[in-house]
Amino acid sequence: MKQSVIPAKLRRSAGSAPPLPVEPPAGPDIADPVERFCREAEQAQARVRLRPDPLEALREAAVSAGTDTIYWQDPAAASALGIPLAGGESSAEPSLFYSAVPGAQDSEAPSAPLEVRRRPYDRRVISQVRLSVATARAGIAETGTVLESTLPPGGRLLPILAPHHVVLLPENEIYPTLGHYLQAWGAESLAPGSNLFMTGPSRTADIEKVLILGVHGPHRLWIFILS
Amino acid sequence: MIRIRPQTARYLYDRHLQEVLRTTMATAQQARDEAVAEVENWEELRNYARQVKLHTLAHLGDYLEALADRISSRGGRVFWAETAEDACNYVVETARRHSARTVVKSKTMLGEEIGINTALQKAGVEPVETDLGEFIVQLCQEPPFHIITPAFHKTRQDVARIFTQHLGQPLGEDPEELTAAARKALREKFLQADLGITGVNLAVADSGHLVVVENEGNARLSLSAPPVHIALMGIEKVIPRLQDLPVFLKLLTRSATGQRITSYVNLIGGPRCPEEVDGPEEFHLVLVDNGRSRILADERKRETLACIRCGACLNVCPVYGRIGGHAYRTVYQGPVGAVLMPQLLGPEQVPEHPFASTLCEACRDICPVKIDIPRLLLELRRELPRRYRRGDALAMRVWAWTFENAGRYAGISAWGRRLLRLFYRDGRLALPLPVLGRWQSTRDLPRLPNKTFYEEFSNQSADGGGNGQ
Repeated sequence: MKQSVIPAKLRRSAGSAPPLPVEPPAGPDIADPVERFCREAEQAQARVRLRPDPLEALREAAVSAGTDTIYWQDPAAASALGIPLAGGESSAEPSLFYSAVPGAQDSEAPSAPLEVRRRPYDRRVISQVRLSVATARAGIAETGTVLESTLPPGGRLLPILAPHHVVLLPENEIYPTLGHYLQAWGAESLAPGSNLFMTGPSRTADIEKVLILGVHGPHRLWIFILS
Repeated sequence: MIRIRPQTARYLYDRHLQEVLRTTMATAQQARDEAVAEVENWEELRNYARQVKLHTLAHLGDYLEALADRISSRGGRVFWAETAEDACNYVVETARRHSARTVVKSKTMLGEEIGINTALQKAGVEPVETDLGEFIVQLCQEPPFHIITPAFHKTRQDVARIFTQHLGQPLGEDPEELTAAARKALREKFLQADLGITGVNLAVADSGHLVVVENEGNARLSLSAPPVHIALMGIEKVIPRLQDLPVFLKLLTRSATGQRITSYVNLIGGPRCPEEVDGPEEFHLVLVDNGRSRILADERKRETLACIRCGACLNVCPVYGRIGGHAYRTVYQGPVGAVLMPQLLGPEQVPEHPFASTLCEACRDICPVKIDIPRLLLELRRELPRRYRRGDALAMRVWAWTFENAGRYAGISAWGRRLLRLFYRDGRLALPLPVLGRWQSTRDLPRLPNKTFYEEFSNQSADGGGNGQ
């Protein structure tokens, strides 16, 4: 790092100032974080499913995305949340993980585990993906926000490039406010590189203040709350 | 010298612009008011944020060094830029080192302030704005109209025409279709770009994270897709602790767009980690001073730097609301622009800015960090050489002379009333003063009564009370 004169200059003109307050004002009281999370996320135009049958919910998302292939950001984490998956062991080389969703195109659907396949990581492939599935580190009830998991093997582009995105959120990781989450986990819970707090789909109101969903990020966001 | 007055008429008589300003400002204010009304302890949050900001500014050197240490310990590179030129040179140099041809940018007002696009273009690098609003104004080769909604002066018809011309396909006026066309055009740019540039809304010193707030996902892509990410940050953006972040986020997003939170809040601490499969291999943080340390050194005006750039003061300002953003001819506009620009550029560069205000104080009341903008405006007016405020000074002197003595005030108002009565024609006041010509043609003063309230009151008191008891 180049030594700079700026900090010294700033110190010279420090002057008087109030002390740093000990701690921030408390957030609102939220009696039922799960209920509040669902309400807020839906108001932010996410589609929320509380404790759904995971395979059925994934099929619903796939049908709505018009695809029968889903890409996993972190198959191991999805599996830990009770999604029946087979295969998808992590690998040393950068990979994309995907599964065919049987029955996405017809209503007769078997409930066998989904087979996870692997292909080399390729941004061009990601930009063609219709539906991606990620696992959240936490949910924030006050705003219906999900925090993307730390260092997922599928990378950080997948959830933002696909037009349809599913977030799997463990029910016991829903916190009343962002303050509660940070108090519980602190800076250690954040990734050293990048962290993303996501609330509803991508949106803009830049043309005549008309709300449009899905500018650069997904235009549909699903949140499956799993216990 | 940059003036405001010469071009005001052009914007005031622009029917379309006036319509847009009237409706959009009202919508923006309403959204903000509703979002704020939900927060029971909004005042407490404002006071808290103000105190944190004032504290941070007095210890800015320490907090910035803590932030810089954290970022460099993770392999990020930190560059301290004293001037706009230093910052631009560093960015251009980095672009050259990577033989960059295309740079994707997400909205950064600091980028506008330092003129980064011009610097990149001169070096043969194509800067592509990726925020939809910025993309629209960039295609028109215009500066942003508003710090939060840069293209709100464009109608859907305008955008359809601009996109049809530049994106190589005929497009209808449906905002959904237009947005989809921009998505497609920019998606390619994201995947090709050699470099991504973003601004920084807040930076957390103790955890060493930069916070980038957005709704579209373009900042997320700008800082994830290209192999190099450069974050441009004004040195005043740092806050001490991660635990302060929720308060500032709440104040910022609710004030700016009336949202409880934006769709995306990015917390960036450095380049991609070894475990990650994507993300930038190189990460640069450019800390830009460009006049801010000078503002900091003046304790009376230091609070200018507490600004979190939410744009709420623009939306309530009766002056911005009539003349719009482009009339200011400067990067920062509205009330905060009127106090910031003279301090960044030097008072005589923008002598009319401190006067582009009615001092109605709506900006101070709405500011989420309670910056006393009217007081700063008055300070800045006072500091200007006399010749820039001759009319103002004369008017104030006459006013002060009239009011400082009760008898003088009563005498002057009595004569003034009689004098005014001579100029009523067909029941309307028509003073034979050419300087009031057009102003007077749309305004009237009701005929003044024979006696003032004070005279009336004294008479009744003399008659023995009359206070109704």
